[in-house]
Amino acid sequence: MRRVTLGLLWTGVMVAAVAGGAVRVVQSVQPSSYWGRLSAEGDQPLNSVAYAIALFFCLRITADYGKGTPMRLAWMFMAASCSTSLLRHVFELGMVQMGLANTMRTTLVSLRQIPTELSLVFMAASLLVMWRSFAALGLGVRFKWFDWVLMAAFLFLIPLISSSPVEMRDSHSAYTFIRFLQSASPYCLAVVAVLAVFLYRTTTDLGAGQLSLSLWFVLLSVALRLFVMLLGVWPSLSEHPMINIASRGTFAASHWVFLLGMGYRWLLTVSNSEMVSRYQQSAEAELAELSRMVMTTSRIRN
Amino acid sequence: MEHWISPQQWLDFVDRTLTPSEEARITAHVSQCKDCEVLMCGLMDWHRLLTQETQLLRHSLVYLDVEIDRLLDHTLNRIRPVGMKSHWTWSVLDALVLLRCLMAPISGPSAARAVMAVAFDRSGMTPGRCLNHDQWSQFLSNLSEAFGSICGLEGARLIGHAGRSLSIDYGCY
Repeated sequence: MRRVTLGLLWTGVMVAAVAGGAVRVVQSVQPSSYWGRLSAEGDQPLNSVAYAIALFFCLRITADYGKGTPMRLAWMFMAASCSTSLLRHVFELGMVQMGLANTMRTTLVSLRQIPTELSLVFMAASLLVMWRSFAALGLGVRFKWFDWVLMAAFLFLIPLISSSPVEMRDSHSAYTFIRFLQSASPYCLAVVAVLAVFLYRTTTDLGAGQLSLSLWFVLLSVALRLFVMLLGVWPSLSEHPMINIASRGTFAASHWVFLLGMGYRWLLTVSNSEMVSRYQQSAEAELAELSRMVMTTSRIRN
Repeated sequence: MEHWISPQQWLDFVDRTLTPSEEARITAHVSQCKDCEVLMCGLMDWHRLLTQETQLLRHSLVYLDVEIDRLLDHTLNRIRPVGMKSHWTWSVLDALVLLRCLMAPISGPSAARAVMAVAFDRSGMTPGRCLNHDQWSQFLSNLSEAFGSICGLEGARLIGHAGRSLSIDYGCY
């Protein structure tokens, strides 16, 4: 099951990256043709699938934590973030199917900013609560100079993105509230990025293991989104066709990278559960195997 | 030559819990059987080294974060050629080392150390203190809870099961 699940998720990352890039290629070659218009949001089905599976994993992971525990709350926030992201992608897909994406670009479609920003808020809450759970064990609390530099860099990006001459997608919405949300999005993303640095320090403190591996993918997905957003608002870069294709592919893949993080975390629960069963069946054999593992690990390390 | 000594008999022999006649029988066999002599030397070495290293680890508990890795490596380097331990009675420190080795691949080695330190703290365990069954159970409960706080209920159950499966030789650690 483990190999099949991970194989499918990694395939999803690659397919999403290629599909994202292909969408941008079709758009740049035939922007006004039927295919060009149709492909405008052509990677949305893949994004929707990614968040639907991520939501499933999040709910299962949430159930693996005791009621009232901070980590359970963190995963509930993560599930809420996945739900709103799913809503956003399904909404955008629906708009395209109804032909509203082009004709009413500045009105109805712009409502996507509501789930988009909500998703970021939930993600920030999740990362904060998760970090606090680790901090209670003394992990992720000793920041290095590199962490401070990263956080400063993310905060420095806010004015850079806000003042960029390249307009954000919904900055001309007919709704004042949506325009406000769009202008607030760099701040939300910066908060998420700063909290991601907290979690980066935590994963470094944890050391190599299944748990830190799953968190690494979540961090990587945040980093990829931030990187793509930066490319999008940088005037000299945003018009370069190859960078455009690469950034669209990267953005599409980032959703599946996030899903990989959820998948690895869910498989950690599954493998723990399997090990519990094995201990129930034959504790002696497991302990002998554990002794053997200790020996092997030590041999590899030395 | 026929190797008639069972694993359980070997373990009892090393632990010196056999009857004198049974022990004499095994000694007589070992003196004539080269294979069994090699096996016996290995088992005796394992037992001796683990006892020695347990003494070292007992002192290292006060420097849990820094020293235990070095000492664990040192222990494993010395006992590696000897073999492995499957179902002897475990001293408290043997059990702690083993549980930490179980947690490390899941949570990460530093997290396993942190979780164990929290469990020590909550259980009021200090080096040199003697443990009984209830105190070990209390420690296991705290360890499971701390591990579960980051790795989930299944992780907590795993540590609980593994800890309870170990046959502990209670005493000072």
